[in-house]
Amino acid sequence: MNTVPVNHPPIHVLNEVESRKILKEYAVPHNKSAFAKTKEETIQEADKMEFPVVLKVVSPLIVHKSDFGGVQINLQNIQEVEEAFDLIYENAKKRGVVSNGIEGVIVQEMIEGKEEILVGIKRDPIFGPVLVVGLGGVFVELLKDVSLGIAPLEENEILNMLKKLKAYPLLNGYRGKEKLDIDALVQLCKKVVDMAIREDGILEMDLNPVILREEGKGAIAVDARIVLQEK
Amino acid sequence: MENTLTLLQESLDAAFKPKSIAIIGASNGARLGGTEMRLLLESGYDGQIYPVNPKEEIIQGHKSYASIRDIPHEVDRASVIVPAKVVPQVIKECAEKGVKVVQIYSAGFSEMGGDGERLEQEMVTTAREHNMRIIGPNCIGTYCPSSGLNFTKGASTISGNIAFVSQSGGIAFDMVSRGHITGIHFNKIISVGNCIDLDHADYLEYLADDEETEIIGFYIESVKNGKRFIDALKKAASKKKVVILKGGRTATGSQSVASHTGNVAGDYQVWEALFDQTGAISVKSIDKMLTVLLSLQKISPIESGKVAIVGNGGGATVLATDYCEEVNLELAELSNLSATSLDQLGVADGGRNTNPIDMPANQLAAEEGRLFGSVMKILAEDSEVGYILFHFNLVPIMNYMDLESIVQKMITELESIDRTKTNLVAVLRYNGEPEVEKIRYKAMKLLESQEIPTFKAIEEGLAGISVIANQSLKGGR
Repeated sequence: MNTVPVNHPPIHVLNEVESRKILKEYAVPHNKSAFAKTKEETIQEADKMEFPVVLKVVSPLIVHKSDFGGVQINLQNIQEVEEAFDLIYENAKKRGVVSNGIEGVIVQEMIEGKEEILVGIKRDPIFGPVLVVGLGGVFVELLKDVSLGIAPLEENEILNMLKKLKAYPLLNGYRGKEKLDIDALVQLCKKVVDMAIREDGILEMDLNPVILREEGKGAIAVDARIVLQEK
Repeated sequence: MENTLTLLQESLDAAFKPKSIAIIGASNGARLGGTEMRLLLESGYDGQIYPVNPKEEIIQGHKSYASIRDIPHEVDRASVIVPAKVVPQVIKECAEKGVKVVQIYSAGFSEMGGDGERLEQEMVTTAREHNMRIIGPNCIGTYCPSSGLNFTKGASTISGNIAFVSQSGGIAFDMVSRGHITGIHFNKIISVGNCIDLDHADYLEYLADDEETEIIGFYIESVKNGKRFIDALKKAASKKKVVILKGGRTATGSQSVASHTGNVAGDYQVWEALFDQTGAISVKSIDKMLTVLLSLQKISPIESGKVAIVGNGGGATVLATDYCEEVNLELAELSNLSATSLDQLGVADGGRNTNPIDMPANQLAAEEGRLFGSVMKILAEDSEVGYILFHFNLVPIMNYMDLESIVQKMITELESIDRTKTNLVAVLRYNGEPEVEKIRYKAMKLLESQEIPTFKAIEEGLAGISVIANQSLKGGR
């Protein structure tokens, strides 16, 4: 049967820092980002970036980090970064996660765009890596509007996958809106597919979201989660 | 690779068209081994038959052998119908004898757990050492009308351009028996069971190169080597039409908690992606499989051809129009000439009833069916029309005339229609009454003799046309 046996091998979920290392290796576009263990390091890293920036908590104890204020966005200057750092630690403490349960924070440049896209990988036990794309939010979650393709995939096949999405017109100039950078999204997907073919330990992956901007301005992953199959 | 392919072709040639067959487990009785042999004799197989059963001297008029080793001639194919526990020994003997291919009917291997998988592996190893291939185990047999292989009563003796491979014995049965009634002609139907040696990719590769086969039907539950299967499916679907019914669509064993992607992408969606990527046609029921196979066999794509609909039943006509839109079919806009001609016949009603055409039962039956014939000719000659669906609701026609005779006359009218640029598709509707069913069946066979496919419902006929018309839009895949 086309299913993972009940006793499938244990999985290992990489945090965002670890996941981004793999993205970098395969040149999958992602926003500027740095890991910092202390407030001082956080300020140093933020200083090297273009504002606004985002802070995200990194902790093996926290999976849904935005649910309780573990993500602080739209920070305009160093002072706001300092405040946000303290707030994240306070919020964690309220949930019973003390500071030694937190590894640190990720500082990253905040990317604005027109649509949020889910780009994912699922390794099918029979057919191998499968690329999954859909528009973020309700389109994926509520309407299950996703398109799948079995690797390997060429650019034209990825474009056809996007065209099959019910929400595709939103990317392609619906009702006089600007056309978005579909070509960049296709290129990003292609890199993701090639990465999944090479890295056969990757069981699942979410780039959620990939920020898609206007035509010519790119597609950039701003969050990443990779699930490895433990060998 | 060349050698592997040759071997594959030789072994499957031997499976479908053997010069000699050993039936291991043949008997004089009514069980599977006896039936297999009886059907082989009744279906006109003209090669050598060697029954093997140590308990019998003569089986159904043929000398019986205690073991396949005792047969003093070459054996192309062996059908193995013995209890699971003796199958491994029988396989060893077949391999040593130099049999090209065995089909193991016996069940009780990996599908039952326990030792089954290990026994299967041992059999495969033995077979490979002797270049013998295995079909099955756990299957029902092989049907091939041109060689006389058959596994059920009620099978057609006419060969067609469709081959069918089934992982379920029951569905293989359905294809032979229901296919025959429906007017679908197969050249091969094979039940492949657990696929321990020859698997889906092998059958696809063989059939992709098979000159008799233009259409391949598949019932699949599971695939072992996904990558090989994809390659074989791509190759086959680029040369032939491949229609796949996938069983086990709702399996949810691989739900993921670790990622969003894992949750939104189900297993069957991966199969759907595969169908899209390879150009295979997917169906979700046995009925739809039969509809699609019949349509592929009997309806030819007509470039930019549109649909005309004619028959009795005002409401049915309205619903037919609605359904066209659902299955992406466009009704033809008839030429002025056609509209005028229909008007002159008294059918078009001042141009309002041109397409779809509602011809009440009394009109269909008028002039001994000649009015219907004239309407059909006008539609067939209109260059906009590529597909004519004509539908008879049989019971209302009975009110006006002798049903059997008028239906025959209407069908005879169709003989003179030029069908080079137009397809004819019939729908015979009725209420299920046994007396009407007899007439319907006769009518269907008359239509079949003119190579016109018959469907039970207008929606079915339109769905069939849609498969053909919309396939040709995609560029012949």
